[in-house]
Amino acid sequence: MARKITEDYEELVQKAQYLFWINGYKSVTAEELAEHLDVSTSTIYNKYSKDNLFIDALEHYVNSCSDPVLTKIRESTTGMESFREFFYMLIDALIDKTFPRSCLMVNTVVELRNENKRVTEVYDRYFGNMRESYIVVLKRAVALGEVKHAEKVEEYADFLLGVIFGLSILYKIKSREELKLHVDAQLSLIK
Amino acid sequence: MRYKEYNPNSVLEKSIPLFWEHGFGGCAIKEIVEATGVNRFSLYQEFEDKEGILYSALNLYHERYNQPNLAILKKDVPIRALLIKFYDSYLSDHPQHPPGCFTIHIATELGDANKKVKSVLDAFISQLHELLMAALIKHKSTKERAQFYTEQLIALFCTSVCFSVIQSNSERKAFIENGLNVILKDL
Repeated sequence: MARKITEDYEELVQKAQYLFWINGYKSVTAEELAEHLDVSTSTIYNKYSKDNLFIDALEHYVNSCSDPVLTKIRESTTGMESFREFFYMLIDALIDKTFPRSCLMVNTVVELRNENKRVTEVYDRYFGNMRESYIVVLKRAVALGEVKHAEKVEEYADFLLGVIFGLSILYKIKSREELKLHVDAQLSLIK
Repeated sequence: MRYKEYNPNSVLEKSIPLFWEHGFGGCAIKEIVEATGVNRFSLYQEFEDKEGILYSALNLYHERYNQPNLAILKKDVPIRALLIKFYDSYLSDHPQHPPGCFTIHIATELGDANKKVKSVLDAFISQLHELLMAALIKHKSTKERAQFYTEQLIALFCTSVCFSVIQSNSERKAFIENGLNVILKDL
């Protein structure tokens, strides 16, 4: 059955995303989902399915949270400063709970690993775009003379790919200021 | 009446992979009953509730798994080899449970709202911090540089034990190698 993507459906996905973000995937029951979305349980079973809502919530995260900021740093004119702004923004989202619980993608990686092929496809797209964008910024930093080791761009991109995972754990026990200093220190390794 | 005819630690040993595999929220008490063969009443008598089982499981994991892994950091081995050995103790494939760290895994799920889990995470990271500092100072870092490296190495630890679950064994090794190359290049 083809799913019709309507405005109403988008709203449902956004609501479902919040529930999955707070509780993860596995522990959310169809009954809870139904109650939270204000639809009947049979609607969840027969029309939307928990699985489809979850995948769409994850896609929605990539399309509305992650891709736009990656586009922004790719198209910016600064080098290392782009990374600083990007990671500071993430720290604020984590601490201010604009991200209700950690980063949704990190939560999903930890909870679902490679168990679901459709989810794995979203990881590939997410991390692929992130790595590509990091490389664009790093090459710009090389051109600007901020990074001397042009040959290490790939190595640095892989290292930076891990930063969101570290922050997603450390924000639970560290303050905003400590986290920002931490990011500064991480970026100081790239030169 | 026979009281406690089972070993609580063996219940915990069997609960760790369940929590690890399904998450705390995704693991029903019924599954623990099935895996351990201990009935619900006896479990609640010993541990109070599902959270009680989790806290005891976190403590047991810390004693039986984190402590021996952390002890690696006290060995007399060149710093880079020492760190690789330490990271490897968490990241190499294990027959009973997924790669990674149970403490960090549960903290990812519950460390925001649950104060007990948060303090378990805090205590673990503090201990790791202390041991890394000591190892780096032993290998002739100044205190200031040791502090800097320690922060970076802890971040690499948190990152790799989370990231590792979707990576192959060789990708994990490469990720650690790469991380150490970036972090320790001046050492």
